[in-house]
Amino acid sequence: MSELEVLDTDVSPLSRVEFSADGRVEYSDGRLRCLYPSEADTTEYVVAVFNVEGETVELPDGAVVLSISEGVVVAAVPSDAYGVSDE
Amino acid sequence: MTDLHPESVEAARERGGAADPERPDSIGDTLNKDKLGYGEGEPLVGESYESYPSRAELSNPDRGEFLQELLSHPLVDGLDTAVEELTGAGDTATLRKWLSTVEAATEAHSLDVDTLLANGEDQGGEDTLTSLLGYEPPTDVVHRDNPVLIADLYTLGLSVSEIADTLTPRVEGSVSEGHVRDTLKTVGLLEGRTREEQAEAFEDKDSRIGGTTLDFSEGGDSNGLTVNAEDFA
Repeated sequence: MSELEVLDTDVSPLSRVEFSADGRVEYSDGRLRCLYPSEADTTEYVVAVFNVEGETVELPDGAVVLSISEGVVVAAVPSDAYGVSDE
Repeated sequence: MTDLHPESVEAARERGGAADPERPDSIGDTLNKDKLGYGEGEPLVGESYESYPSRAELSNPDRGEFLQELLSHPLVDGLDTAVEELTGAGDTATLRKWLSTVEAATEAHSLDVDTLLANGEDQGGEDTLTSLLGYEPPTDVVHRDNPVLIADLYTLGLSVSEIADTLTPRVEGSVSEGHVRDTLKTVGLLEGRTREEQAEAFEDKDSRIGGTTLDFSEGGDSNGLTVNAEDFA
């Protein structure tokens, strides 16, 4: 027997959520449900929307795709992918 | 100051309120640049409004630099004015959603909003009137009823509507194109009668044609109107 963590929450673009991608992730109509081992390391994600350009889309490393529809990809992006360099 | 050389005045009248097609490019550049508001003048960030992110696209990690540049712009003095630049929406509910999204995006990108907005203020955005004249005129001469100011802008090559748009943010009350046109007619830089003169002329005409005429020429005990019954036959 192993203990599993359950995340069940409404999300929208820029929502912050924390879960482990080492489990099951479901997303539908703005509802995110995740099930992952309690002992797994979690990551803080930000829900983001990406447009598909032609037939490709670029996602940051570590992004978890939540849905694909009509040229738009919704993904949970590790929060450390955000930020602006000071250059 | 306003050029009143006969040829200049003639050219001004011939324009009929339109912009001078031969004015320096810098006038047009000044009028079109850096206006706050989605679709107003040139965009504050980038080359075109088409490249602005939708509300959902603000969630994209690549939009951080765009947001940083927008908040640093001299004309952006708060998140609400940033939203004004990002969307043409006017209803409160939509604007509230935009504001919430912009706030969340600044947090996601760890942007120091107060510092960015303060940087914008330090750069000191020069307003359009000052840029056009090349100096900041005394406050007490910048008012909607100053014919010298309006004439000066017109002879610089601005159109009537451009003058109205330039003065409106700087004076109390709005400046209509009709008001600018009337003022230019008053000082002789446009031909034709002002709206007030047209109204007076109309009233004079109305009293002659449409007014009731009493005829007291024929005597009689009563001074009333003479009515011919045949007129009602």
